[in-house]
Amino acid sequence: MKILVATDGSEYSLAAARSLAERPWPVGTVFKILSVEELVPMPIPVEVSSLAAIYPASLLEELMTTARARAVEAAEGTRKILVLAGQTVLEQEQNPAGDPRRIILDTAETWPADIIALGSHGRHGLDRILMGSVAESVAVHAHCSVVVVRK
Amino acid sequence: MKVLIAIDSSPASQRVLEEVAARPWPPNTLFCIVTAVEVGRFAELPALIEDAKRESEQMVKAGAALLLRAKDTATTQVLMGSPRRVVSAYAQECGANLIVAGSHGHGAIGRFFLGSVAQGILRTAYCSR
Repeated sequence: MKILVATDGSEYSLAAARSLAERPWPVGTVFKILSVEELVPMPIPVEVSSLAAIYPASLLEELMTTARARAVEAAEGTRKILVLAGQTVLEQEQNPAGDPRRIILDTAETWPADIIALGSHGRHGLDRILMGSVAESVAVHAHCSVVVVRK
Repeated sequence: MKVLIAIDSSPASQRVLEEVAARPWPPNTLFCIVTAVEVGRFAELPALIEDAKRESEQMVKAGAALLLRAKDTATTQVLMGSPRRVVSAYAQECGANLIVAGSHGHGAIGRFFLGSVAQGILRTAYCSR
């Protein structure tokens, strides 16, 4: 079974990783970690190209560097939890630039994943009752099964 | 671990049961198969509600039988009311750790949309799904 774990390093993502790590999976199950990080927290998804028109190059570079560092850290945190529990982690992928929803769905489709797993909220979860927009969007549009982990 | 499996008589629900049966679970996992009878549809006709209830009971029992071929325990429950609400409420009441549901039931228009029940459960449930 091929499981794509999407993480942004938030407490929800780590809770999702712990829940996945504890569960038994079929023999030969492999995990792939996808670390997604929004460049700028905005209510609508933004691409780097559209930011380049607004931000000076130096600031954009700084944003990218910070986002990349956060993405690496997030992937590493998730990997550690899974590996410590004895799960097989194939590879990790950091893709900080772009719309997390699209990156997750595209990666799942090209791999192709049997399951996408993610936390119910991301870093910018404003409301604990409502589900995060990324989790909801992935659940709605994914071609495979989706595990949404509540903290 | 306590797993709540929400089904109706759609093909997606059948696939859900097969997938749960095929997957490994922690030792002593309890499975509860539930379905919901939407009372609103038959509010004026008690006899029809009874019929729907009986059919639903047979359906969850058949689901349990399928699961029992692979797993040790499976209980069943027929809930009354709007599925998207009663499933989440029942999950909270019985302390389920996980709700499993198919992405589409009967009312689905196309695969582009997630079924309204699945989406309702996603929005309101307190445990993992």
